[in-house]
Amino acid sequence: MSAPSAHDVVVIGGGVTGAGVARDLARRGASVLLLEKEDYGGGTSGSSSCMIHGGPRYLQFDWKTTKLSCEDAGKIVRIARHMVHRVVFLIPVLPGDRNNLERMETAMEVYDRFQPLKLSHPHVRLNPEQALELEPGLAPNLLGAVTMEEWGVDPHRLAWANVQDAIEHGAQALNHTRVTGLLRDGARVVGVRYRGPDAATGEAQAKVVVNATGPWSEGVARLADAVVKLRPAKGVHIVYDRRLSNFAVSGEAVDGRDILMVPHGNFTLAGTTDDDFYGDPDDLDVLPDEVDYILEGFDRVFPALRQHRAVRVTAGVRPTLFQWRPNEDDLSRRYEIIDHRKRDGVSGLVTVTGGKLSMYRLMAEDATDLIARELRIDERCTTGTAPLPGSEADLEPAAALARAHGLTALAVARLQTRHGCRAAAVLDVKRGTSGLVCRCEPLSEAELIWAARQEQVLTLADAFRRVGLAAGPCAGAACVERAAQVIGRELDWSPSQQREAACDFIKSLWVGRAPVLNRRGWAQEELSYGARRGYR
Amino acid sequence: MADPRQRTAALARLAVAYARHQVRRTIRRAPPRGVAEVRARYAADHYEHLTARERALFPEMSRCINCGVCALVAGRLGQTYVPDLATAYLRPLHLLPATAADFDGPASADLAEAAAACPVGVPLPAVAAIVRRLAQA
Repeated sequence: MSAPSAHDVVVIGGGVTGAGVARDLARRGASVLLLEKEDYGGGTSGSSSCMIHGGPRYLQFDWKTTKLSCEDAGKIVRIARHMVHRVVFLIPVLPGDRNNLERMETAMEVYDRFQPLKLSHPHVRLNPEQALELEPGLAPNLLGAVTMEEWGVDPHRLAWANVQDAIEHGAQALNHTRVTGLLRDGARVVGVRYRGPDAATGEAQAKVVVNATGPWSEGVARLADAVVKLRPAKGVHIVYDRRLSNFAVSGEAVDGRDILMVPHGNFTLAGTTDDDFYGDPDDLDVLPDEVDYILEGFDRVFPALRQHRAVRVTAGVRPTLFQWRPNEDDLSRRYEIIDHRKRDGVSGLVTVTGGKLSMYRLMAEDATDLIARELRIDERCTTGTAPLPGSEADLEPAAALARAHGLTALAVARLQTRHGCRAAAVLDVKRGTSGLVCRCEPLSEAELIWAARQEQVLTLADAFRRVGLAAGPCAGAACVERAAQVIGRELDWSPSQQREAACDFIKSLWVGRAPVLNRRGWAQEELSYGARRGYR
Repeated sequence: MADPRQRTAALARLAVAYARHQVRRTIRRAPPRGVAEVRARYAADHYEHLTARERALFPEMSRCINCGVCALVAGRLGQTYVPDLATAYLRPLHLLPATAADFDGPASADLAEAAAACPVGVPLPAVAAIVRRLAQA
C-alpha cells in the first residue's frame, strides 16, 4: 500500500451528483479526489429516463419545486448544449383517462409559465386528426392531445463531462476504485480506504468525505456509524433499437401511473416502473412482469410498440428519501444534504442523496456550499454558467468535418453529440485512417482510442457508457472483437486478455437483452453465436 | 409528500387556473393551433414526423439481423453501405438532414435485388426512400 494521499475533500460516488460535487469543489479551488466503484454514471444516473425535466407533476404538490426544477434545468441546458436535445411530448387524452382534455390543457397552461425558464416553448392543443397526423402510431380513439416540451440528455456523458471538468480544474478521479472503509479519528471521519482496479489498496486523507453514492449511501454511512434512511425504488426501462418517432408519447399504465416513450439520440426508451426495492442494488434482475407492465400500458396509447424491436432493458434503483405510507409514485423526489456532525455526531462526513437527474447541479451546489463553509472557501459556485467540456463553442458542420477525416457525416454528427466542439480534437487522434469500429452506432476507431487515452475507459462496458459501443441493434455482434483489439492496444492487453474482455462484455450484454428478445433478436443471437464459433 | 398547506395551495391555484381555462374556452373557442405550428416550431430541431404509410412500415425496418447478405448483393448509395441504411441511418431521424452528403455520388446499389436476397425481408427500397426524404427535409 502506498503512502496516503491528502485532499481537502474525497467524494465517494461517480454518478452525476458525485461528479457534480467534484466539479463544483474543483472549480472553487478545493483539492478533490473522486472515487467510483464501477464506472462514472454506471448506477442510478445511467439507468434513468435520461430527462432534464421541470416536473409538471409537482404542480399538484408544490409550485416552488416546479419553478426550482425548471430554473436548474435551464442552467443545465445552457452549460451542456451539445449533449441536450428537445423532447417534445404528445400527450394524448383517451376515453377513461384520469384527466380529460380540459384538465390536461389547464395543467399545460400553468406549466407554460415555467417553460421559458428552461428555454422551452408553450404547449399546443391538437384535435385527434392533428395528433394522428403528427404521430400515426397513436391509438385512433384518442379525444385530442397537447404537446409539452422537456429536455433529454445522455446521463453517462453528462456524468463524464462533470468528471472531465473537475479534472481540468485540478481534481483527481478514479473509476473502478471501491471504498472499503472510512478512516476515523474518534468520532471524526478523516479519509477513506480503497481498492483500485488492479486490487492495489490505498488510503486518502480528507478534511471532508462526501457520500454521494445514491442507493448505496445507507451502507457507506454505516461505515461511519452514521444513519441515512432511504426508501429505494426500482425503475425499469425498455430500450428500442431506434428513434421510433421524433415525438415522445406519454400514457397511463394499468395502475394510473404515467409512463413515457421517449426518443433519445438514436434509440427510444419506454418506461418506467416504480416499485419499492429491498434487495442489493448491485444485483438487479428485470422480471418478465415488469416488461409486461410497460408494454400493457403502451398497448392502450401506442399499440404499434409491441411490433418494434426492443434491444435491451435497463434497471436502476432510485435513492428516494424515506417516507412511510405514500405509494412509490407519490414519493417526493426531494433531496437532502446531511451534515452527519449535526445528525449523528460524526464530523467530516456529508451525505447528499435523494433528488433526480434534472436537479443534480443544484444538489451539488447546495452540498458544495456546505463543504465550502466548513473549509472556509469563499469562491462562489460557477457550475450554473460555465459550459461543460464540449459546449464552449458552436459546432462545425458535420459534413465538413467528415470530409476532412474520411468518415460519414452520420458518424461525425453522432460524435458531436458526445464531444461537442471538441470533436475535431478527438478525430485528430487517428487522422486520415480512422475507420468505423461499430457501423450501426456508428463509432469511429479514433473516438475509441480517445476514450481509452483520455476518458478513463478501462473495460468494454466503460466504452458502452462513454461512446456507445455495442449500443445499437447489432448488440456487439459486429464490433466487440475489433473494439477489444483497439482498446487492448491502448491498455496493453495481451490477445488472450482481449478475447476474455470480449467474452465478459458479451455476457454482460446478454443479461440486459434476454428479457426482451423477439424472434428476430433470437435469430441474430444464433447467427452471432455461430460466427464466433460458439464462444460466449 | 409536500407540506399539506403547500399541497392545498397548489390544488387551489390549479382550480383557479381550471376555472379561467373554462371561461376562456367558452368565450373564445379558438380552433386548435395544430400541426403547422408544431412543424414550424420544431423545424430547427429537424423533428419531422413520419407519414401513416411510413409508420406502418417502420417495424419492418428493425428486422435486420446483421447477416451482411445485402452488402454482398448490392453496392453503395453514394458513400453509404446498404446494410447501414436500416441499422445506422434510420435510427437518429433528427440527425439525417446533417447526413445528406453521405448519399452524394453514384448509386450503384440495386436495392430491389438486395431486398430479395434479405433472409428476413427488410424492405430496403422503402428504407432508402424514408432515409432520403428525411435527409432532404
